[in-house]
Amino acid sequence: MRRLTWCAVCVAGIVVVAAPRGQSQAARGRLLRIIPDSIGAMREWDDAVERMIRDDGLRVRMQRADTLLPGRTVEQLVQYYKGVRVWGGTVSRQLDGTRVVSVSGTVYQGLDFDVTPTLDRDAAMTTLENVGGPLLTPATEPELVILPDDGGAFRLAWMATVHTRTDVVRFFIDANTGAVVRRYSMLQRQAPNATVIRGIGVLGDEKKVSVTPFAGAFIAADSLRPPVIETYDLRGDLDRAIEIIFENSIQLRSADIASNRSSNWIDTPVVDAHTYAAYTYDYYYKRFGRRGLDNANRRLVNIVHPVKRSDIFDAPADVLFMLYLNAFYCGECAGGVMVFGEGLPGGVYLTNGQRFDFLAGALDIVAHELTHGVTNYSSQLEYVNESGALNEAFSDMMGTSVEFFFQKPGNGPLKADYLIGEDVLTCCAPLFGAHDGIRSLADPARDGQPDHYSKLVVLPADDEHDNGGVHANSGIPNHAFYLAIEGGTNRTSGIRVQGVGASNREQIERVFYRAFAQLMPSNANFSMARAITLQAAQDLYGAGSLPYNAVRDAWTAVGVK
Amino acid sequence: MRLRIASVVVLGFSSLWIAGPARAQTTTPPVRTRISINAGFQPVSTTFDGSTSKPLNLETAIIDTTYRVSRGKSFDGGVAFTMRNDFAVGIAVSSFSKETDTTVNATIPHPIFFNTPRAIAGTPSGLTRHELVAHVQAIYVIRPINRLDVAVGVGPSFFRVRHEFVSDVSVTEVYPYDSTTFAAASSQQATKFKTGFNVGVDFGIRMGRSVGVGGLVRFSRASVDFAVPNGNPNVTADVGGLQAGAGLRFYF
Repeated sequence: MRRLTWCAVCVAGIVVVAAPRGQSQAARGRLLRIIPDSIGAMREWDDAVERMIRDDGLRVRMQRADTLLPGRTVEQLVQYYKGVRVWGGTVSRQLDGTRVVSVSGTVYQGLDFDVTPTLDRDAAMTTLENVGGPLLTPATEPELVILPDDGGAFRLAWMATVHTRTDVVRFFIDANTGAVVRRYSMLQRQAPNATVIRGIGVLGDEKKVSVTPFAGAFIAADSLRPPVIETYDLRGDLDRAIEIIFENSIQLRSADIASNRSSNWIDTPVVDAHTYAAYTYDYYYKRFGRRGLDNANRRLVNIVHPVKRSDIFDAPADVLFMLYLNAFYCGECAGGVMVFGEGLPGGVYLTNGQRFDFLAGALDIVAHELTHGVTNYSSQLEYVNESGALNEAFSDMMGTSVEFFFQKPGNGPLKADYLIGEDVLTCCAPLFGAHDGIRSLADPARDGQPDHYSKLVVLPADDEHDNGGVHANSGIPNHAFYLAIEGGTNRTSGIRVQGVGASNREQIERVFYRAFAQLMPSNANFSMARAITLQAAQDLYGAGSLPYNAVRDAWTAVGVK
Repeated sequence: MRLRIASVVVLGFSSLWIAGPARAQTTTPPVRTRISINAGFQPVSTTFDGSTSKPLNLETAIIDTTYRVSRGKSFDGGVAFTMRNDFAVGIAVSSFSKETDTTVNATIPHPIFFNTPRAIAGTPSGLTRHELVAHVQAIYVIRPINRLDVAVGVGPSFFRVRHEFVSDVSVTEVYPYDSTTFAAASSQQATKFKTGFNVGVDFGIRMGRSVGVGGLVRFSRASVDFAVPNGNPNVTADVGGLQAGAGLRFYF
């Protein structure tokens, strides 16, 4: 095996970012992005990865069989230094038997410092409890990590994910000074005995609901699908909702599961949350062979009616935003739940004229949230900056794809389109330029999102700034996904793309799924996403194929090189 | 409903007839009563369709079944009495039992989605048809040569028909339920009484004073409406058919 030094010039296609000097805790080191652009480079990187595994510099986090290409396996590896996890140091490697097909990721080289913290774990917990009163559980005890900062410096930090009153926040506490050096929300949200009974959805549509008979009633427990899919009705009890979802201080009870006495269920958000979560499971299984969130049929839990619509005028702003006007997936809440906001009462509109119905009533919203769960159990795309925007974009892509899988293309309710949330976020009148939905993959600029990398929104990576603009910058990969399917011209670059066509949309869906849920490392940026989607297109359809060219040209059109 | 001539006679059928009173010049003694016992064959297959439905997965499962009653063995016994000269009356009882060839084609509603039926096909076994028929005949006897009697008869037939119909199907299905396969059919028995008609020709050759051999060809028919469980509409089936047989004749 040839030696490979950690040097940019040795391997073509590696982007090297030198760490600036002068950081107080900074170790000397460099960030290396692994994007091999030739077989030789890829093999050299594979040799380097092997050496790092042998030296305990990389540990395998996950190894799974590829559900799209038989015989392939995908490994996710995490970087360690002296037994301490290097935050953001991840490598994804694709194998065909023992032969390496692709390698990508980010590693940090040249680390050289003591990993003994001045602040011990108990002191870190005290600090965490003093900042916003978060609640710690044994499962969220702080972990010592090496944290790179945006400037390229490294520091030793205690990392913990904690539950606040209406949020789940990841904290990084400097392990030497006790200062909070980073915090961001972990809620991956939408906006900043088998029996079948009849159900009515939020839009008045009729659908079959898979339930379980229990004690003379039907409970929202799906027994037709392989995983447990349950929908819980908190009956508008805000205090219980906060205790269950955010504080993790009490658990969902069997009495909380939604139930119905008759065989005609008319609690519309229960019906839609329950059936749409199941549809999303169906989509992933039928399209990609994936079995749920973790590809091992992990339980799916939906929560509806966390608040009452009639209480909206007394609701604090954070509750209004999270539990009325939002939907979110939280992997750290109650063992992993999807929560669907209650929307606005009739006659109440946002200032832009938009009306919010029950958020569970939109198939793309439900699929979007469940896809956050898929990401959580696969690439774990870090929910900040570009990786966070990719995380959001993947949820939008899959949300849209699920719509096209189950609904007929068109405009209006229950039709498949490239808008997000248009079935429940509707405009009563064209006031102030308002329109249906909150994002558009076809025209990101419609909702103020960038459609080109030159317009990237640069914000601080904290929860006050949307974790670095994850909901804004998702417009760029979203638009690439759209262009690769439908084709068209990017408004900013003027570059025209020949898509694969709507009838071949499955090809692009498979490419992006493969890239995002199987090959992507957790700290990928847009450039890496381009390389990995091209790798996925090559794996599935070959270099130079129509899908490959469409993906390449779409990324180019949105300015990602 | 179709009637299909299958093949030539293989076995015999039952019949009755009576020879007319012997005349003074004949060598055979006069006959007042004749008993016949035949083994026979029903050489004709009949086919008919039935349809049942049932609510399933909030929609309606449609189960269309084709029953083919193919040719098969039968048994027949009868007695006839001379009334006057060449005329006689008689009654015979025939029995026919056969397992039907049954084909099921069904559409099964999807458990998850509306308007997404799945088609299945299967061939359940063990479903039988049993016909027990009493044939009453007015008979006219011709004696073209010595020891040979030919009797032509016509009259009503009284059918008791028992038929097993497919009432439901069970399927094998696994997630995601987009296709399914036939597993088994359950059946229910329906019994019906119906009056039809018969017409036939019987011949007998006397081998001794009281014993002879003979054969017959008979056609009987009735159309029966069965009230099949979940059937919509009722199933109408032709019963009886062409029968042929051969056997012993006893003369008294």
